[in-house]
Amino acid sequence: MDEIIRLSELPTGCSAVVEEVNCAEYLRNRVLDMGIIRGAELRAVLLSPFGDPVAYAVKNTMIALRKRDSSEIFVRWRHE
Amino acid sequence: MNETQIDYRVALAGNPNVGKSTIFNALTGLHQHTGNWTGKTVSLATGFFSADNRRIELTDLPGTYSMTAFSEEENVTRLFLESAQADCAVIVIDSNVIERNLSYVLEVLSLQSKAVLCLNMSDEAEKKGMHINAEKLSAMLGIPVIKTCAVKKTGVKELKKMILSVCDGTRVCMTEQKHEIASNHGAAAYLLSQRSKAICEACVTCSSPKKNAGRLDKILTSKLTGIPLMLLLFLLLFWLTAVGANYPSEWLGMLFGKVKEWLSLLFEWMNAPAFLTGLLIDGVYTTLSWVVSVMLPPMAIFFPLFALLEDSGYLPRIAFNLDAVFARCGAHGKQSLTMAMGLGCNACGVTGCRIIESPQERTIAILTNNMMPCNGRFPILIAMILMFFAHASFGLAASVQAALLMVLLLMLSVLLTLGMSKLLSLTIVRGAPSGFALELPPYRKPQVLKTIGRSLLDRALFVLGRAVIVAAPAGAVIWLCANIDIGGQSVLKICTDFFDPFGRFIGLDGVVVMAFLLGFPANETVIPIMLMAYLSSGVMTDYSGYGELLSLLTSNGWTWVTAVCMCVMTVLHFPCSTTCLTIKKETGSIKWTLLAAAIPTALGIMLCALIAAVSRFLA
Repeated sequence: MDEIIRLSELPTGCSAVVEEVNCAEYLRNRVLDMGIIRGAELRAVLLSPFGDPVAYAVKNTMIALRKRDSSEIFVRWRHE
Repeated sequence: MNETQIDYRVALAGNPNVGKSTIFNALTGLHQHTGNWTGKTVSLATGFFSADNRRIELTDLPGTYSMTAFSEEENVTRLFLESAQADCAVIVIDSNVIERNLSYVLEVLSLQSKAVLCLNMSDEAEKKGMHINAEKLSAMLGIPVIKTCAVKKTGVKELKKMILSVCDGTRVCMTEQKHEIASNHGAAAYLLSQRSKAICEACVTCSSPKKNAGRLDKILTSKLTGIPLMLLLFLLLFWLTAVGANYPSEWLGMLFGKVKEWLSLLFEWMNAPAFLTGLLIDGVYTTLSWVVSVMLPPMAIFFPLFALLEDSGYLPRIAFNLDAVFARCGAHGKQSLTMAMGLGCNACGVTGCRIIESPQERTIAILTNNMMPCNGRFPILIAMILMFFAHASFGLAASVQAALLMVLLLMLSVLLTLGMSKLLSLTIVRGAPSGFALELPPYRKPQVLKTIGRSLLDRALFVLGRAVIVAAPAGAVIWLCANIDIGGQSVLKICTDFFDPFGRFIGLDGVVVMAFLLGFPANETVIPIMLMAYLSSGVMTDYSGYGELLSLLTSNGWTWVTAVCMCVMTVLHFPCSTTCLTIKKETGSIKWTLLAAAIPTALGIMLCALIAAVSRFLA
């Protein structure tokens, strides 16, 4: 199944492809520069001790985002 | 260095955490501090090297993710490249992260056509099964490409040669100046990412499976073990410091005592006037020796170990682990990084706050940085703990106790910082919370011996330098104060008597209050000033370990309550002059600078007065 979800809803260990980055203006630019951009594949890999932030593997790096921000990023999740 | 001697100017650019500083050091032979985390280099560093008898000036630009000026560093980088100050740009990228890094490379090339691409950490990438076709990459980008491994210094010679040939024009760069019209940053970034993706697909073959979080990360950041392991790690660090500090401290004390004997003999032999002997030996030399023997050992143990932690890449994990707590207090997870820097030096910590993008969170981080005990105050705490709360000479149990107390103190500092951050965010530094995007670099095995050796030398030089610049004059001033009489009383006595009622009120005494005031240029001098004041009214003793220090303090009426108040005041008082100037520079506001000084001082005085009152009540 193919569905568009918020990045914050992506379960740990799952991969998805970035559709749209809608974060607040300056964070948006930073996130884009870090490689989280339309078409990029990413995977939720690490949950911090308090559950927020979450680290994502993208283009061979690991980027940590707060849920508040990752909920403004929309991804395409392909799953069974 | 004479400016006319420079033949070419070269700029070093790259994403954060790609080993730029290591390349800088490898090229110039300098020793700029490196660390495995983003934002280590916050200002421009310049160095020189020669190739073929040509003198080349190398400017290390701060690592940024792009050129579109969102932050100070990006602005600096962009302006430097736009103003065409460089004959050649060396763009350093982490071979492991080539795709994302290429966006940045393309961006630099649109501003600077003469460039060399440096594929750093190429051995690491190859080990992971990534093969980068350098010739093809070079052809596609139109600039020479050199594979390096800066840590092992491979490829550095070739890099030097290539830089020179690009500078003198023997190697021509054929950069294609594609100026796609993009309406905004998002569109521009998308175009860049598409182009780098295409280049990567053509030049990089990868046989390794997709990246997953390592096992180490699963343990170090997990819900169950993340925080306890972090505390344990710091406990170990402090334990090693507590166990180790006493011995070199005693040796140094003995050494300084011997040298003092020889110096006294020398002065006697020269028939030096008593005034000069007193000023130079009892004033300057004694203060110097106290500063070095009390301050150096804990520093020389703690910081090399901390540097190992830094090199391993663990610090960003701390920011990751604790961000939720910081977020709750209206602060940014990256503040934990600036706090770690503050542990070394608050002025550095304040400068480091530039890594926090949003203005209000940055202001909070700057205003509270001083609550982390720095280089100059940390040994005061260790000394207090070792003397009053754990007797280091009594074996393992005592040293573990000392380490526990130190962790407790540090946790209190962190809690105070968080509480103050929360308070500030609710009152005077209000603003919408900003986002958090932090890169977690891969763990790297630190170069143990090199890091320890380098850090040891750095710390020793730092402490010795401060001792000479600040402690020596302070020693002279104090000696003069103690030996110039007005109306039958020494100036020092008059001053300390003046502060004494207030000092007693906050559980200390006039001497300590004056020591803190006079310690404004550098906190390292607080203990020596205190001791000079105590010694000038009693018998002259030389430093020979913490035991001696303890008996001197107790003979001046110190109890464990005094020691507790001393610890509180050490953590909570105005920042040193350097830090104040830095805060003024970073915030551009006298208001914030004054607040940064007033808040901890007021808090410290209130806490100490409370402790003193309670202890009087109980007694």
